[in-house]
Amino acid sequence: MVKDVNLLPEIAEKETKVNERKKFATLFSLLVLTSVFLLALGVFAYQVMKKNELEDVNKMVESKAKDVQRHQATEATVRALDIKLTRLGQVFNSSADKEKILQDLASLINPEIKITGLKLDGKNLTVIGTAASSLGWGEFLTNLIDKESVGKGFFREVVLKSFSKQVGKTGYSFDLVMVPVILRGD
Amino acid sequence: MLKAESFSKFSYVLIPTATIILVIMITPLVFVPQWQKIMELDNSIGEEKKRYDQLVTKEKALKKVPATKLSGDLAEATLALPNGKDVPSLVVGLNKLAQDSGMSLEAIQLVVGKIATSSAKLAMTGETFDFKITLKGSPEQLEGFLNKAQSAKRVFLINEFEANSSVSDDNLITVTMSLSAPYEPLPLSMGSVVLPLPKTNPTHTEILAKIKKLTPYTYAVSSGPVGKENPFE
Repeated sequence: MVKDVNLLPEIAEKETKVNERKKFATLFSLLVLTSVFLLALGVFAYQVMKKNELEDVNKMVESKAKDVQRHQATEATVRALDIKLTRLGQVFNSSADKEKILQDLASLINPEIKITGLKLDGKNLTVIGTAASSLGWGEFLTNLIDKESVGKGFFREVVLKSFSKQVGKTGYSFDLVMVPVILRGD
Repeated sequence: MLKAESFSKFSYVLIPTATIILVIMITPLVFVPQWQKIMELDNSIGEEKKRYDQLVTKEKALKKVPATKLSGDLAEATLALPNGKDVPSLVVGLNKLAQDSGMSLEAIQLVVGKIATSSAKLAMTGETFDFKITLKGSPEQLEGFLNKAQSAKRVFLINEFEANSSVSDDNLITVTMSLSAPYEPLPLSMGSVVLPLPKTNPTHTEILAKIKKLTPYTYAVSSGPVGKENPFE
C-alpha cells in the first residue's frame, strides 16, 4: 500500500495559506473602503437635497411675505386702533375714579352742609365747609365714617383738622381730610 | 531571512488594519460635521416652514379685516386720543366747553417743562399733555362743566381739583383743575412681517361704542388769513 505523499514542500503550503489570507484581507479592505465611499457619497447627496429644500422653502416664505406686505396699510390701521383702544381703556378706568369721588361726596352732603373748599391732591381729599347746625354736622360726619350708613365706606382715614363755631353766626366751620377708598385700592 | 519571513507572514494584516484606522479617523473628521450640517439644515427648514404657516395665517386674517369700517373706527379713536398734543384745538375746545356750561374760563396754564421734554420722545407708551385751568361759576354750572368734560370726545384726566367759594359772591366758586390730555402717537414701525395681528379684545368693542357717543369739543384749527401791516397795533 502506497501512502499519500505530499509532494508540495512544506514552505509552499504555508505560502499558499498566507496568499489566501492576503486575498481575503485585500478584499475585505476594498469592501470597507467602497462602503465608506458610498456612505460618504450618500451623506453629501442628502446634504445637497436638504440645501435645495431649504432654498425652495425660503422662496415660498419670501413670496408669501410680499403678499402680506401688500396689506401693510390694513395692518397699520389694525395695530394703531389696538394701541389707541387699549390706552383709552386705561384712561377711562383711571378717570372714572375722580368722577366717582365727587359723586360719592355729593351723595353724603345734607342740606345743612355747604362746601366752600374742595381739593383733590394725589390720594387726599380736603373738604372745607360750613354746617348750619351741630345736628347737620353730626349727620354728615356719621355718613362719612359709618360703614353701615348711606356712605357705605366711600372714604377712609377721615381726619378732622379743625372745627369751630362761626363768629357772629349760628353755624360751624370745618376742615376735613380723607382718603377716598377708590384711590386707596380697598 | 528570519525577519523577512515573519514580516511576510503577517503582512496580510497590515492593509485591513490601515483601512480600519482610516475609517475611524474619517468618521469624526468628515462624517460627524456633515451630519451636524444636515441637522442644522433640517432645523432651518422646520423654522422656515413655521414662518410660512404664520404668514399664511396672517394673510388670511388681513383679508378678512373690514378695512373701511376699521378706518372709521380709527378716526373716532383718534378724535378721543389724538396722535399729538394738538394744543390749538384743545384750547378752542376748552373755551367752548366752559361757554356751553355757562362758566367763565379765567385762565389756562400750560405745563411748559414737561411738554418740552416729552415732545422729544416718540414713545409708543403714550404721552400726556398737562395743563391747568381756572373756571368761575356756580356749583350747578360746575356740575354741568364736569358732565360735559366727562362726555367730551377728547379725553381728559383730572389730576388735581380745587374749588373755593368766592368771598364777594356766595353763589360763585372758583375752580382750579390740573388736567392731562393723553395722546398716542402712531407706531413708527410694525415690527417683523411675521408678527401676528393683535388678538381681538372684547373690551375694545365697548370702548369704541363709548367714544362714539362722546361729544366732539375740540375742533381742527386751520391756519386762517395771515399778514398784518403793523403787528403792534
